[in-house]
Amino acid sequence: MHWFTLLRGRFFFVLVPAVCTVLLTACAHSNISLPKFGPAGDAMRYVLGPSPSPRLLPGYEYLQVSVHGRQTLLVRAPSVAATASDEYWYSAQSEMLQLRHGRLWRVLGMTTEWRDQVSSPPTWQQLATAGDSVAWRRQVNRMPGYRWQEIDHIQSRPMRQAPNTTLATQWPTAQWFEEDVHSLDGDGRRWVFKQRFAVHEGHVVFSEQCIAPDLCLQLTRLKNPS
Amino acid sequence: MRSGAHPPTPPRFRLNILAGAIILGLSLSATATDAQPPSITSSYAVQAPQRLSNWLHEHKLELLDTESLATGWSTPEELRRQQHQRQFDVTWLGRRLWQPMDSPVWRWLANTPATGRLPVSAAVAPWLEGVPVRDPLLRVGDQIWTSPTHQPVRVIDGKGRGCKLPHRAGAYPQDYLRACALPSEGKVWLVQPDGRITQHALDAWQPEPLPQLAPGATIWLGWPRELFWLPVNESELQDINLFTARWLANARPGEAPEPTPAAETGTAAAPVSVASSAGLDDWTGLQGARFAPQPSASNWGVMGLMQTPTARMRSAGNFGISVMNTSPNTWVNVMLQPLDWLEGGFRYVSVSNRLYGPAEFSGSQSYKDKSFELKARLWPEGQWHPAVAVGIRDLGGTGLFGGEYAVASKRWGRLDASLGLGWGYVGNRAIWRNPLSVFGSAMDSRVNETGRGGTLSTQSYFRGRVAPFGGLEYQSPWRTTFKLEYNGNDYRNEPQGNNQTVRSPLNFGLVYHWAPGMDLHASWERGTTLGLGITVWTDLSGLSMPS
Repeated sequence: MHWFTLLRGRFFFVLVPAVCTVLLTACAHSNISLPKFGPAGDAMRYVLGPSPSPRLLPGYEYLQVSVHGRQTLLVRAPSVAATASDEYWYSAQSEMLQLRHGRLWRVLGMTTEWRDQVSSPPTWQQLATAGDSVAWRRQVNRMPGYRWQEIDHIQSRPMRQAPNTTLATQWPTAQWFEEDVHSLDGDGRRWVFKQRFAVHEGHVVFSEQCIAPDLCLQLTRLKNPS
Repeated sequence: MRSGAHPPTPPRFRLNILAGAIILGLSLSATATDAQPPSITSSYAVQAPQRLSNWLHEHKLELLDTESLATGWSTPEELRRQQHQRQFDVTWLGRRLWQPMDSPVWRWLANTPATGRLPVSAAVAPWLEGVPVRDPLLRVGDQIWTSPTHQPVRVIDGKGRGCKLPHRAGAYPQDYLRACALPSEGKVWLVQPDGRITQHALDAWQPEPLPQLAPGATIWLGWPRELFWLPVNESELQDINLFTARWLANARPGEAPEPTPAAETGTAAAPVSVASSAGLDDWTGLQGARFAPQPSASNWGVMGLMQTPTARMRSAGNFGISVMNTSPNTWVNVMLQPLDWLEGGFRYVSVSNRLYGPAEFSGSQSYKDKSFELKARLWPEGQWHPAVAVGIRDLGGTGLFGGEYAVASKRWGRLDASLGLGWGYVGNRAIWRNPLSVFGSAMDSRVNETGRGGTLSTQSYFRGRVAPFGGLEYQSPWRTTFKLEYNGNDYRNEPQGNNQTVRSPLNFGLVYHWAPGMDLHASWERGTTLGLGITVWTDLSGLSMPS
């Protein structure tokens, strides 16, 4: 039988898929072991994404993020880098917020990123006892545009009374703080905005913070579902 | 200093090639004569297969004072590929340079080995952990290198001229060039420490928003043409500059070529001063421009001033709808930009003080006229010449507002000037004899076809007397564009006998860029009438459909 007769025959159409199947199956059973993803990767599977009535899974902590009236949920992941002061929150869209004592520290995966920060903000306890406003500054590396080492000047102070919103009734015993932030926008122009924080039992349970002029977030810590 | 005045004589050519080959041979046999600066990078060999995030966690103490943006990852496979490519690029470039050995950058390319660097999204362990698709798998034999923080910014060209400056927060490329006493014009390639390369034009006639430079970045000024004995066209020069920038991006921070101060200035670099965002430069946009020109629609929908067009266009794929009113006319325009050089669309003009037809037929319905317009850019703007466009208004319509125009636009920073010649309705002031009448006296007379439309009025195009038009447009730093226009129409020969009182040939207007894709227009036209309008537009080329 000539070789091209073999190619034209029915045998060819059986043999080729069979060989391919064997080879591919062999690949599937190869014992190459890839390193597993970190704990954050595991936790990402439990991020539900934007939903009008999200189903919160027990054992996970959630942060509700509201931007321009749109809400999404972030899940707290036990990152290797997590400490008592640093929390890492992830969305289903590859976004990450790192909060240090409730303040934005690093933001990645969003339209504006904070790649790194150098600052020593006053603690909430220091602010509560200071009585007056406390001035401090932070140095932030921002993207896009490689805006490295930009300095924000911040004045923090306790609020005499809680803001007149439904949020205040949600945490009646929370202590409220506000901050005036003098920053720069993407064009290098001065930009001033206010931030608010509700601190309950030493933890920030609600805050309004801005990453960029068009990216101001409301962060609400959801009660842990049992 | 050598210049391009030397003719490419054959003996020199042979010597050139011979010398280049010797240098290349020496470099490839690892007997480099150039003393390399001591490396400031720390290299780590990957000891076990792991994700980059794991590696970063394990080495967090070593990474404390390092710049995460400059973290490099290289693999043996990529190193082999780059070595092969580097050899090809060095040989190819060496054959085209007069004296390759005289160029410190060519010597650096020839003598410094490739690194095999691969891009890393962001060397931030907690984020990589959460985004596994961006978290590369490291294998034994791979290398990671890190660089200390506060690395200087380099400015360098093909002759090795430039300087090394401390990074300054808030500084833009022009600020570094100024400190280096180098001109802020022409093309530059910004090589960021994460390996990203962007090309920018620094000329005042083509402003664009620029990024800043992270510590450790390089501003590559390109290869001066005078260094080449073989003529290189624009496309080849672009390729040469791009691959040089790519090799600079792949270099370890401590192994980049060292710039020397330009011989012409003979001065050391000055401290980098940041131009104030509220300073004169920001107002004029002539130096250190950080904005993108935003052309806006005229009353007739095409990019222009109020009543007259300019040679400006939006980028291909833009689609816009505008509604404008300047009594007695209201325009509803639908405009498309199918190609970078072609703008077109259709419109309805409602004339409020004329009836659509007999009252028993259409009541008090105002007169409506439909028309098509096409505007084509004949050539784009250059450093010394304007962009030029021609257009036909009311193409295939009733000819009621039929007109043609040729217009030129030239930009200086935030100021954009236009000057044009209008035929028909666009040049109804009819000041001058038609310059096209040199092709025949038939061009002197124009028949205003006001039939039922649907046919091309080829007997009218670019015929009849003409009038100049033009104006100025100032795109301010406050989201507002101001317009001043000299109208080529004096409204004394309006269709349907609808002549208007004109107190001034000058029209004034402003456009407020309210939101991306939405402009609000206000104008004072003919010295008597307020005009208002809104434009909504979007870039359809940015839309995608999941397949």
